[in-house]
Amino acid sequence: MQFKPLEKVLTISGLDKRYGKIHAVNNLSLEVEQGSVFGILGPNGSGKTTTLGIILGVVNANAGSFSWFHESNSKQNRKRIGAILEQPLFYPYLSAYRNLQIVADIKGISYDDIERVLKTVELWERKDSKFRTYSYGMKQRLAIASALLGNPEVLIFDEPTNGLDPRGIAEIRELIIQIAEQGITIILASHLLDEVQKTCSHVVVLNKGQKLFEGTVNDVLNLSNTIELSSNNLQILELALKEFKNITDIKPEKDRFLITLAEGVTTTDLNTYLISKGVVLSHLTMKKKSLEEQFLELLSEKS
Amino acid sequence: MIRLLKIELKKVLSYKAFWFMISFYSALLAIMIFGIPGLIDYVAEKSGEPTRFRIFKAIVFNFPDIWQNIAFVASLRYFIKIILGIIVIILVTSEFHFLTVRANIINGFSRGDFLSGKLAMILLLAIFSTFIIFLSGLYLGFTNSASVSINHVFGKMQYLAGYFIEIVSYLIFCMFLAILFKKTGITFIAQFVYLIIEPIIDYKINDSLTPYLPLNAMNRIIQTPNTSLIKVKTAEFNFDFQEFIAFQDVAVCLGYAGLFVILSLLILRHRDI
Repeated sequence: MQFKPLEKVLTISGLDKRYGKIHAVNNLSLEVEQGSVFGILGPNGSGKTTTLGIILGVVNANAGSFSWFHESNSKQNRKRIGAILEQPLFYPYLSAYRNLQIVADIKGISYDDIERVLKTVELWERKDSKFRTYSYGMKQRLAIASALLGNPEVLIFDEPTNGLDPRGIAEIRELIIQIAEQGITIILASHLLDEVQKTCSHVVVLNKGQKLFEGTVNDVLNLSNTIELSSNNLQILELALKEFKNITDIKPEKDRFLITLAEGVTTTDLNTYLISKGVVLSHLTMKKKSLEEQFLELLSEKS
Repeated sequence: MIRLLKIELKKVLSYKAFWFMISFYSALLAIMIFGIPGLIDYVAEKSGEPTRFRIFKAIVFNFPDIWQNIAFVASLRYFIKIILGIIVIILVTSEFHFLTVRANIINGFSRGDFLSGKLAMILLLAIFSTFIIFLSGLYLGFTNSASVSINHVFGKMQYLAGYFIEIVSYLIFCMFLAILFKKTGITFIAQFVYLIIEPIIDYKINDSLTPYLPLNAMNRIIQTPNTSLIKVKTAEFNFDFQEFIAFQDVAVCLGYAGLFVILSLLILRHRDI
């Protein structure tokens, strides 16, 4: 639990980017707090990579601004960030070790950390092989190693599990969670919702360059909680439910009801009310939607 | 700049295409340096008039004229200089091809750092090439000169400095094309098309503008070879050979170099990498 006000690591305001007719990023504003695992969700082409490209200094925005660590954009700030963007980018004719030496040189850090990061992604044995000879999964792992080099304050992962096998995906997720536990801020862009649900604390949902939603993962999942309930006497239950004003939706099913509570109303409120009406429940469950269902709903609502 | 140069050198450490081109350039120069005097001797023997060829050899490779002559040959725009240009083009376009320029920037380079790194490599290549030509000049001079007094050996060495300025400017021009076009093949074509077009433009425009075309400006620093004997003028042969390097030519050449650096930086800054 943190009690002091959280530091903002990244502030984006009014960011805008067009590629001809395509509005890749549309007046996007957001803030990333220190120590959070911030997920950027969206279907392919929703502007995730473009946004990351802008804040990493490789794409020029048409309008808007951003600041890292409360400072204006500079190369010094980028040295405090470890990032992978889209695909692993290395010199194909150099070994993994030499490639990481170049990264260390640019960041102005010593080579001492190279061994640790290569061991973390299990590439130490292959450190002298040329990048060209790596499989896609190994290339992706080298990109992760490169991002981890020098213990950066912020990590940016754009589709980090792309091209990895199921074991690799699980390992990278585990790694992300471990890093997050050390208090390092992580910005994770993905179209794999499961990935975000499992790793992120905060999330922003983008579509066609616009922000659809921003909040904690729990906020998204709680957006519209469905409650499933049942009683031995369904008629009495139905009457009682219809009288309760804090229900926005009632759906009868074969032997139960699916209801949606109004905002701010808890299951305790509902249960207290039903007991006062003399209704005894035989079944009561909160049905949390998966992030995927919620995400699809968000997308369909706004388009 | 030294830090950036070290990074650039690390990038090419095991880049085969780079070392192949460097070896090719060195080998071609070596063949010329060691082969041409022998070739002249061979032709001289076959021709039945060996004295004429021996005189030619003696005056062309003679200290101090050798410096102007060798610098002139090395800086010919359609000759071995092109190999160095190709090396620079490959160094720049490969970064765009492999998208490593993007990785460099994400890791903490500014766009200016990227450009400065390439400029550092250009300076190093120019120093390397000037040094090789210096060694070649010494070899040819010592094996063919009648006089090897200090004055003669080191006279006219300013032409080596002139060559250095020429080659730096030319390589900056190649770097600019590579940054503009990004693709290796297109940049090669653009360079060769320009090598052909400039003389045509030269032919069409007013003579007074001729020195101000970019490649002309670079080539003007060392316009002609020179020897002590061909100063003799006759009615049929009335031509002024270059006797010194003109300050104005150097200024125009460096002006173009500066312009291409600025244009390269503007392109890099305004483009998404």
